[in-house]
Amino acid sequence: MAFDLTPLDLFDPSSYPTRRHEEWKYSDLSRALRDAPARADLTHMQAEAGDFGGFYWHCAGDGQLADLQAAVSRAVQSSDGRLYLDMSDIGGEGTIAGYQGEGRITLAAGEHLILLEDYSGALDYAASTVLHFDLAEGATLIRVVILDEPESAVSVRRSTVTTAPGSVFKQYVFATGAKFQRFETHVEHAGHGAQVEMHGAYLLKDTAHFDYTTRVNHAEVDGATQQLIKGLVKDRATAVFQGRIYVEKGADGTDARMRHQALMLNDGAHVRAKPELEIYADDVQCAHGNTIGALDESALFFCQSRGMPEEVARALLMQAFVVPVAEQIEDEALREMVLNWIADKTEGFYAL
Amino acid sequence: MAAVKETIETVQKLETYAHGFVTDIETEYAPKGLNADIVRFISAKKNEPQWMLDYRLAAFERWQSMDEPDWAKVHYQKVDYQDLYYYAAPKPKPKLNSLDEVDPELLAVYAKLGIPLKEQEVLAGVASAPKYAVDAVFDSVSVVTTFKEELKKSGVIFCSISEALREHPQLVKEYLGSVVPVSDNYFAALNAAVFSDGSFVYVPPGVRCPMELSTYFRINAENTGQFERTLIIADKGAYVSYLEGCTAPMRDENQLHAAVVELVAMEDASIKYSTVQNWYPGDAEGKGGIYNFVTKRADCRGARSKVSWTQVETGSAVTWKYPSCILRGDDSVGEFYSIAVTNGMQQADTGTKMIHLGKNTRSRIISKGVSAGKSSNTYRGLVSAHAKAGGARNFTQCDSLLIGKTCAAHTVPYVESDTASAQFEHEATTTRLSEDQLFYAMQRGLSQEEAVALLVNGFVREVLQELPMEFAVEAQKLLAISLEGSVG
Repeated sequence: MAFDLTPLDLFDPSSYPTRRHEEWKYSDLSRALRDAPARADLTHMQAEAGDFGGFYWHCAGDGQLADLQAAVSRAVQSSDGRLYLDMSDIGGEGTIAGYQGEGRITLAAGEHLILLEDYSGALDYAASTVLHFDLAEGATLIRVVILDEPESAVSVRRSTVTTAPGSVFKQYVFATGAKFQRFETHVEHAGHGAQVEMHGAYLLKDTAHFDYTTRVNHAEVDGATQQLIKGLVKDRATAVFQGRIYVEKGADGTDARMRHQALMLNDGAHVRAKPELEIYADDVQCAHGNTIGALDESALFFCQSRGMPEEVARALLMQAFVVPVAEQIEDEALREMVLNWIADKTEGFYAL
Repeated sequence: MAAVKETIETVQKLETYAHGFVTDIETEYAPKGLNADIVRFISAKKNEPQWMLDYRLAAFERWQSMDEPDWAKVHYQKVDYQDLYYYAAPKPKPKLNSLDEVDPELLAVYAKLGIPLKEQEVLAGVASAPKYAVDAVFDSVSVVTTFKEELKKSGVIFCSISEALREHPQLVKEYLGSVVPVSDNYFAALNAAVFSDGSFVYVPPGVRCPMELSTYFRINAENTGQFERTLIIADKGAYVSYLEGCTAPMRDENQLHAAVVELVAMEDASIKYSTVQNWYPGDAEGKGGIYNFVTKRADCRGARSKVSWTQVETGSAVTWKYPSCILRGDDSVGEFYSIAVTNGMQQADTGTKMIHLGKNTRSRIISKGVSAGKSSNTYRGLVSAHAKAGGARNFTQCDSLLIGKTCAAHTVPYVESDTASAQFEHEATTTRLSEDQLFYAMQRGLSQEEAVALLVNGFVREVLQELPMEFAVEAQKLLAISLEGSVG
């Protein structure tokens, strides 16, 4: 299966998609990045395998993309099957450093991997990375992604996922946006009991821009897809969600559900949603829901009537809004880490 | 169950497209092809003022610089715009004073279609039956408009747009192109250049239009395109309900229908616009049929104005149509109720745009798509709230029903919000006809086709309820016919 990724070369501005590309209608890369960045070393994707007790945050030492699969193999064979992948880019000061890289992770039949990808770079950079995941029969990949990039970053993170019968792919993306931040996932759904989940939560303020784009192609029978994306948008930030579920002819028994919910905290923030269903088979259950609204005044009133100061009540309701996404993470340590991260990041949203 | 029984009977009675006949009527054509001279020819034919000709020529020039849109999920053989007649009209009889002088052959056409053009015939029905006035458009021209006099008494202007250009040029000049500008899109520009006829309605302030108004569009001549233009203005506090119906003969060639409809609702005004679109859909192999490329838009200009679009789309080979509302006035309301049924090789890409600009504006979208055969049915919609549209509210529900293994259903919604106090909800589902329900209905003695008709009627009932009564019955029958042969 060939994935339909818009060709993009960071070092060739003529390849930048513009708003004229339907897929990039709400995210204008050529506006965010007018000139090609200075070519930096290959994305220093770092992998560290094994027990990394409680998922600590750090920048790992040197490493090459080529080491990726070796790190994965070590992680899969370790007792907890976890891998921490440091994808942080360190940019230049005054100049924009350009990182571009591609990597591949393969899971053999029945293998189980919990992957934590950390994108928390620093300074000025533009990055374009593509990760390919191939899941064999019965393999499981739990992917938790933290996009905590500097305000000035221009970041396009794309991935392709090929599943096999009985495999499980679960993705949880948590983002704070950047000057331009796009996270794209393309999944080829193998059906036959394979499960795909792609969730996400975004916490955007100031002028942050975050674009979560997902594509799932159901090519075979009896595939299930679940998506829950929730987020907060404040100040002049922009949230984009583009989800597309494509069900090929004959992919009967497909059960696909997609939900996107955005909370707008002030006028002047922007939410753009395009949840698409494209269906060529008849024996399917497909649904999507999309809501955009403000904080529920009656809930706020309820909290206040119980003696809670307004600020605390707001904080509580905002956290309560996005937390359901993180709560679905089964791994306890990882879940706690993400919940703490959300609590930390939502602090900036409390101000009235 | 009476309606169901009727549906079933209709299904049995009618095997294919019932309106596919051709009428042999003397027709006057403009030379084939499209150029500035043809635009001048049409304008001259209609004795239009100079400003109108200038408007058309500017539109033609704009059109030449535009590209045909290709973003819709429809595939069709491109139209050769030079291989069409842009004007075809039944040869006029000298001096037409009353209906009695309308070409009897034309009257026969409408009688066959079941459209009452004679006022006394309308009245001959049950005393309590509601009256409705008809503007009948045959190919490029309006042949007759009924009840004009009676409407005039209450100040309502209902006539063909050509007549309006002669009798009420100021009104036309003020509003034409104010909702759908010439450069809006490829087909709107083409229409602005060559539109030949259509209806014009003006309802003065505070008037509730005393009867339903309707236009019946008929394509008859071969190799012609129909480009009608409709303009409806409801002044302050006015109300009007307008119905539109369309049919065409069965032909192997595709025919183009590119209409523009503009609605203007002033303060407290309300417009209800209903369409039952039954253009010839082509045969089972996808040969022939109408290309229905239509731009319909309403401008809720005044505060508390309301526009409600209801459409039942069963015909056309290819449909490209997005009746929209610009909710400019504070507290204005836009509604869109749609049933789109595709069967055979039909392709429909239809939906709406609700653009919230004013405060506390509300919109509601209910779209029901039914696809069968090898058809493709797409809902495409936009709901947007401007930063100043505080308190905007939208509810969207689009459901798709799939009948059979070879059809397709798509939902492509765009939701854009720039204000925190807007509340947007969107729900969409796609499922197939429930086996259990089908089994239940058949176990009660209904045949498979009858059961499908029953279930589909149930699926779309929320929209059917929005149609004026006479149309609802019509639409229900149409649904059954459109889906005939889709199971098994």
